Amino acid sequence: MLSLHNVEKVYFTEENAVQAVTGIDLNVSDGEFISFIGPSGCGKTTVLSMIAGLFPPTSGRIIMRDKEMKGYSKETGYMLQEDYLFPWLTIRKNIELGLIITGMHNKNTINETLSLLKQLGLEDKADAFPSELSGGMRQRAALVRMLAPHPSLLLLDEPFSALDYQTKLKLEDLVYTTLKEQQKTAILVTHDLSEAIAMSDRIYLFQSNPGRIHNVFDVPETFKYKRPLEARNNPDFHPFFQRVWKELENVEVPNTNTS
Amino acid sequence: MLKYQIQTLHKHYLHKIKKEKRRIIGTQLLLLCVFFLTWEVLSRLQWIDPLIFSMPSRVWELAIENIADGSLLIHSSVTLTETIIGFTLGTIGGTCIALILWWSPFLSKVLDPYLVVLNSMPKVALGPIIIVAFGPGIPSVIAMACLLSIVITTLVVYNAFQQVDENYKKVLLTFGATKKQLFRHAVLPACYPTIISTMKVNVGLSWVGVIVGEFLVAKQGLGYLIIYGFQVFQFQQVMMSLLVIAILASLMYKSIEGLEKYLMKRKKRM
Ligand SMILES: Nc1ncnc2c1ncn2[C@@H]1O[C@H](COP(=O)(O)OP(=O)(O)OP(=O)(O)O)[C@@H](O)[C@H]1O
Ligand SMILES: [Mg+2]
Repeated sequence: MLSLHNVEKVYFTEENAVQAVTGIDLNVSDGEFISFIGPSGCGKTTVLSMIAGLFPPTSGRIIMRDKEMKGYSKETGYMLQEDYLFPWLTIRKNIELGLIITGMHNKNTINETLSLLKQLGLEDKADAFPSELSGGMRQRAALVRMLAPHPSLLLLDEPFSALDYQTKLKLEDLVYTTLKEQQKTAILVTHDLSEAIAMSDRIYLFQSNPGRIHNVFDVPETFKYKRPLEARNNPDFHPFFQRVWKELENVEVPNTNTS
Repeated sequence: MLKYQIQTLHKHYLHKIKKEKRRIIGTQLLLLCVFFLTWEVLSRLQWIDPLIFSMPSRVWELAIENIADGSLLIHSSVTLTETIIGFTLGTIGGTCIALILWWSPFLSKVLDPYLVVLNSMPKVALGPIIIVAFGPGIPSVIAMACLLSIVITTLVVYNAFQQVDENYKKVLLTFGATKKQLFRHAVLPACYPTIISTMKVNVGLSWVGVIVGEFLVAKQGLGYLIIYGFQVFQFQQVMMSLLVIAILASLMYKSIEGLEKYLMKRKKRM
């Protein structure tokens, strides 16, 4: 459903021009779960932002459902690195925000969104303010907000990074099952290799200076379709983790780029 | 047993708070009485010149007289109306200009030095020009009040618009928001607290503008009463007008505070 061809992004500032990413080629088909991992500053957020249509690539093409992307597309939903719920709105109003902006605000969609909120266990928090919620609850609310206008491609930028380990594991499972149920396609950015392996079907390893794809790993079939918690317990999980980990170390030590 | 204890302690605590509140209000009233009493006594004993400082009883007599013949009401309502109009124009106008500047970064960069000059300029010095432009009457007074508050409102509110966290806008942009929606749903609500506190400042500024304006041109209003009383050496009239201004200005300030509290409560309730 999505493909990037030789995408490059250069940031221009007053002092210099930063080549954030270059030569990005990737393909995502319907229903796939993809992960981006790599050292800090290798351009993961940049790629995600371009797919979300926040800014165009400097060169290269982004094709979405056989059409070249220009700006915002109704297909994508983007969850930023932090939840950024609006503190002056209740959770109910927050999750309706996407509906209002996209002009889909009506009784049906509101009820649907509220039932999704209920499904994620936040029903009693609908009239609370974000400051009254825990970190995990806020992430769930942000997830509902993103899902409300029915995007089919979800972009998740380190959604679990601010959470404690237990909450994170639970939320991974919840997000995974929710997305699979609704047959969404997803791209997850994470610093956590085991999270990437547990959740996704394919992993893109980025390297920096300039940001580009170093390697692509297909997650073994034995636990690819299992829920994250089960996947972590699979005997094949650890050997695969070791394999990717080695590559990751190669990338993270400066001046040892071999590709 | 324990629960009962906690409850009595809580009651005790509430009672203490209430008692303290009563003591504060009592002292405040006492202070006010002492002030007027001292004024009266000093004036009667001729320790301060009664011709200049007058005394509360005479001010009160004059006030009763002027209330009875309706003149105080007319002067007060003229001034109050001018102030409220000037205040509203200044606040809304300043916010609208801030919006335009936010909308067009080019314009804001172009206008930046002019705003700085306007802001540091003592606006009262423009009085004569305003009178020439708006004529010697109520419009000039309102223009003065408006001018005093509009520039600072523009600067403060525009600054607040710019300080809004980029990420709130980004959230809306991921839904394909237009610039108008960005403003309506992220920038403006994030700046409500700043706008409210600017309003509080503007209450004071518009009173200054109106009184100065009335000094210069008016035939009516509390500022006119002050300057007239001064010219004919009627100092109880000056004192009376000052007291009325103090009361009206505080009432206006309090109603802004009330508005703020209402908005906060509504936010908490929704
Ligand atoms: N707005 C910007 N202006 C200039 N340079 C930028 C901008 N945003 C990002 N960069 C640069 O582009 C590069 C990639 O940044 P990006 O945020 O995409 O990295 P990332 O992989 O998401 O990092 P992290 O894992 O820390 O979130 C970095 O070198 C960064 O300094
Ligand atoms: Mg990032």
